[in-house]
Amino acid sequence: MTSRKRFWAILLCVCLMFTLAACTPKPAEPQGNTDPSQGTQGNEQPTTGPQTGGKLTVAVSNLFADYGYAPRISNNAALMQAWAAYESLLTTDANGNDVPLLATKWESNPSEPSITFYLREGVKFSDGEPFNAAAVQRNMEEYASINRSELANIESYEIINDYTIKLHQKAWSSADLHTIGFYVLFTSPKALQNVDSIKDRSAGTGPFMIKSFESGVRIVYEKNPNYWQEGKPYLDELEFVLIADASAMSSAFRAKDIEAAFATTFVAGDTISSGCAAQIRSGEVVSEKNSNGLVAVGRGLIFDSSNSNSPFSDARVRRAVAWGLDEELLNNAIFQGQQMWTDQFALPGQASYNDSMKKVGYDVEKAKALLAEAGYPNGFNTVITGAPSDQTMITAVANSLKEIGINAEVTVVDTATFNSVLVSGVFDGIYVFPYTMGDMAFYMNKVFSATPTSFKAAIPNTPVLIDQVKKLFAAGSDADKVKVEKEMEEMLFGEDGYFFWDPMTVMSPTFFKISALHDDQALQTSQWKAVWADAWLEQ
Amino acid sequence: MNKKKKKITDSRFVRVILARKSVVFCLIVLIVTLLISIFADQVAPYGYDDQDYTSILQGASSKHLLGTDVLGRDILSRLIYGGRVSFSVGALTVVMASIIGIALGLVAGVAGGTISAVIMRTIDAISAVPTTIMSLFVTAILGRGIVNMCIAIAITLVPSYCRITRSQVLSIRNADYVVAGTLAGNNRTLNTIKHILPNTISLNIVMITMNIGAAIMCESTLSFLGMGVNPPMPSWGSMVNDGYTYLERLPLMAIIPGVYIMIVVLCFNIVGDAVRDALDPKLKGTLADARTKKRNRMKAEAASAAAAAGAEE
Amino acid sequence: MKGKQVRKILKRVLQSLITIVLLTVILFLLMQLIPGNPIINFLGSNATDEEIAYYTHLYGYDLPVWQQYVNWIKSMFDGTMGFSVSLQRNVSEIIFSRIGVTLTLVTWAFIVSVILGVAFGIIAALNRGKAVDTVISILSNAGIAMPVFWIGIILILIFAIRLGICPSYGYTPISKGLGPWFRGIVLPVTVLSFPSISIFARQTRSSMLDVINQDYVMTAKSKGVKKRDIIFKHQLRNALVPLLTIIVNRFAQMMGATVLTENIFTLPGMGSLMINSINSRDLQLFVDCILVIAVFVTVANLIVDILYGFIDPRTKE
Repeated sequence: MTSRKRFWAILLCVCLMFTLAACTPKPAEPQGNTDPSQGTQGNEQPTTGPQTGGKLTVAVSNLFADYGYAPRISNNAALMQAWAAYESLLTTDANGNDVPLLATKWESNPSEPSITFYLREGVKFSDGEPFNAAAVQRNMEEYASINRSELANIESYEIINDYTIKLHQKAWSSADLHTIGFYVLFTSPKALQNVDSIKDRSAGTGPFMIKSFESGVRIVYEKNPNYWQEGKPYLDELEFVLIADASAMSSAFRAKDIEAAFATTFVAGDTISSGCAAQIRSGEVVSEKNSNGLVAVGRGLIFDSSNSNSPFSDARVRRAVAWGLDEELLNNAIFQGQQMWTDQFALPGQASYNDSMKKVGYDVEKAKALLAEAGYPNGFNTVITGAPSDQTMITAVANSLKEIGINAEVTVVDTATFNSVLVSGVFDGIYVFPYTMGDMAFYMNKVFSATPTSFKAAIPNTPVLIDQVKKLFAAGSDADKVKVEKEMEEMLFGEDGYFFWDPMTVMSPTFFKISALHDDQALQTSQWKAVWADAWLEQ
Repeated sequence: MNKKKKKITDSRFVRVILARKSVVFCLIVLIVTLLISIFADQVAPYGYDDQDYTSILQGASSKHLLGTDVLGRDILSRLIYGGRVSFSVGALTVVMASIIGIALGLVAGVAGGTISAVIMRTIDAISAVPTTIMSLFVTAILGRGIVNMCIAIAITLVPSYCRITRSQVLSIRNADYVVAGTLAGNNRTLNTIKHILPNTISLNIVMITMNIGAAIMCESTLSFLGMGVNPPMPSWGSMVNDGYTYLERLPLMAIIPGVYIMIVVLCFNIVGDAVRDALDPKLKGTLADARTKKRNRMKAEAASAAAAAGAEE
Repeated sequence: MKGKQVRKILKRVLQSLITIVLLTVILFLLMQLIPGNPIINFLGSNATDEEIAYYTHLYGYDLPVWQQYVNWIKSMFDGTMGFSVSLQRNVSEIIFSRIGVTLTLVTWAFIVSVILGVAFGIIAALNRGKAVDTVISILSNAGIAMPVFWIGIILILIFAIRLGICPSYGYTPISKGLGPWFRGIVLPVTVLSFPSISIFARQTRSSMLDVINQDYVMTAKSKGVKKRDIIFKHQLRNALVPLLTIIVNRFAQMMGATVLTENIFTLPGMGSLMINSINSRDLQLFVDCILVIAVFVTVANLIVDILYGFIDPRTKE
């Protein structure tokens, strides 16, 4: 009996010790870079100039299927990795302006209508083929042949000389320049003849070439010795490794298995910050964010306003939701200040942000009054749906809506169904959706046009807004454009606005890296971009 | 004669169950947990969705005995409410699976021939797919929610009931007293069923107690993978999933619900073992010969241990 | 009796074949019922109607259902097993590249759990009633009840996060050295084998105890046969009978448990492949993975059933 009792006692003690060791909560560590309003490069200036050599391993949460065949790459996360081997005609600078890359100059002619690109000379693809107007046309035709929307408005191509090509448009559109210039990537025409040869290889003009590719695991790039920018890239090898889970990313940093990581959700950023708190404090690991709105992904609530049976078909009900949610509190509580709150399609400080209009704030009584006016004095029942990654936000919003009498039942759908709904726009009640904050004309055109491509069924045909979008495209000067944009903000999000969706929060991805990595310019010019050609590691 | 038999087994059954202290202890734990979950509204200090943004991810304190989660909800209360999901899924799943399984087993055993072959091969096909994967597949089709999860898990549990019932049918079908009944003029099918059911029930009851643990485990696995009940309703598996994201900040959030799952499933398994021991001599009631009896018992033991094996994923 | 045996074996093989064929039909039908579109998931939410239509036609998703089924079956025989939309290559290629990791995991977990489980079971049975027996029994009962994902999380918390000994993600191939390989694989293998050790221990213990009082054992004892011989020649062999069924069952469940384990430890095996494919609605890939596993399991069951005939003459009928 005694030996038995001893066994039990020892066992119990061991279990208790384990539990105590494992269960002590780590105190919330202060974030490395808590003020999101300061876009930073993160670290002090390096003492020497760029050094060549070294291998950089970056953890990402998404890997595309194959990077060899560029025309198929359209999703943003894949672009970031593809840009190591492929380039486009133009790129953006830190202020969002188009700057030359493979094209040195361009001209738009709204009256023809056409766009002319003047190409950079002396550029070769990694397989030795020359980059010229013929190659550009070949690539654009390839994109058009798989029905890429970027080329939908191009009627024909005119090769003026080896380094000048004119694109004739079907109708004038100011968005074409940026969409085609930024999103079309160029592959060697020789490689395009035999697509199988570039299944696991690349044939682009970029600083790196694909060395090896393990589907769903990692992609390794090596230096392109024939890159047109002399002396670049500095890195010998660049590897993207797929780590879907933020805790794993954080452990990988601590184990020095990776040198950088893209945290695309708030939770990921938070996990890595707290997991690597010691390294962040010592300066070994730094984080970079961008807050000028160019790299922001917004999350909003969209309503099934085109369904006449739904309470949300009444604009007053939609405005009531905007009045009834304390978005600022929710942002600070759930996202602990790491995400920005905005009430329009632009961030405070950006050019198109309308500060002078009458805005919607937080007022529960006003919300209830609006609901009563619309015929719902006692509120109503509805559904709120979203993807698993937004679970916390949906639950918080549903809880808040109870205050104004709206009983929203939470439904979390898997990512696949979520994506389908984003395209079709068929849903009931409220949907939490992500939207990119960028060029207003380009994005509003997806929703308010004769042929909407996003949320087709959800938002009713509103001629006034469609006209406003047309005005955006037709705008001549920058000042004009800003004026039209501000008008649109008021039409949508002013006190008497349509509020087809309610902007909730804006998230800016975070790039974590070891302090020895410099000049990567990650997230500075575009949400998913880093300038890999310029990046270098301090040895 | 039947009445007397019932009385004896009842009291014997109860006696065997209550014989070991460990079993009694487990029974008490189960009953207490069940009661706490049923009366959650009275017992839990907070509601399961009472969000408090001023105390997010706090550790254990006097206000919140087990800390709070990312929305400031009390973890202890959510644990208590979480029991509702687990117990109801466990019960509903097992009821569904046993009814369907026994019915199929009876049909397969009595009908024989092609029908039996089709049923049994389909059952084989379903059981060739591991439980986690099969239930994942079905949940992807049906969507989230308690009933959908029950259907998904029940499908994976049906084979065990079906096989046991069918083998019982086959072994009893040609026994003397059954044949005698047919000769006496009773409908062959009804007669067989009448004699089989009492014996089958006891084996199936053992299976049921084993499977409740498996069902609860499967439900927590599905919830952990993000396919369980919709928020804000808590389930122990989804609480572990939520806690996993904050593993470094507040490990408690992920560990405690797991401990709960372990305790409940453990108790169910121990009680199930006791039930099997209690019902074992019931098998002596069939007039099958010793060899078949032994084979059936070995098969039953193997099957029930395998069902308990299906528990942990 | 040889002819009879052969016929029996053939009959059993036929049963397995029918099971597999039925499974393909069931899986295919279930596949049609899942909401969600692999094309939209592949193209992203920016896809236009034209793009969607183009790819739907390209990958044959607009063909009638029966035709898709026939094409799928045909693809099994020509080695491609269909085309995965999300990963843009043949399914057989993908599975081939990922199955190594899963098989390594499962094989090691199996070896470990059989050895440890049976050993613990024997120890417990031989020391029945003593403290060792109680501890082993309690641990094995608890081991079955522990959720696999929970064990994984705790191990990660202790060994990867707090102690930093083992990596918390990724697979370290043996080419990187025996030490790193071991450290990378010890946690997932422990997680996988935990429940199995418990079950094997329990089963071995109860089978051994069952047999311990049998006549032939007593006869052997009275004849003076050494204790060791009794254990290994008589007890264990007879305890093996139900153990085999359980072993096959455990193999099946272990394949299912790799789904969770690979998810938690970010290992590039079949399990994580299945989760990714169902999330991206790449059902072709998902269903092929299931089929591969199910075939493994069916074959294992087949072998065990045939062996049953040879080990235990009593169950030959």
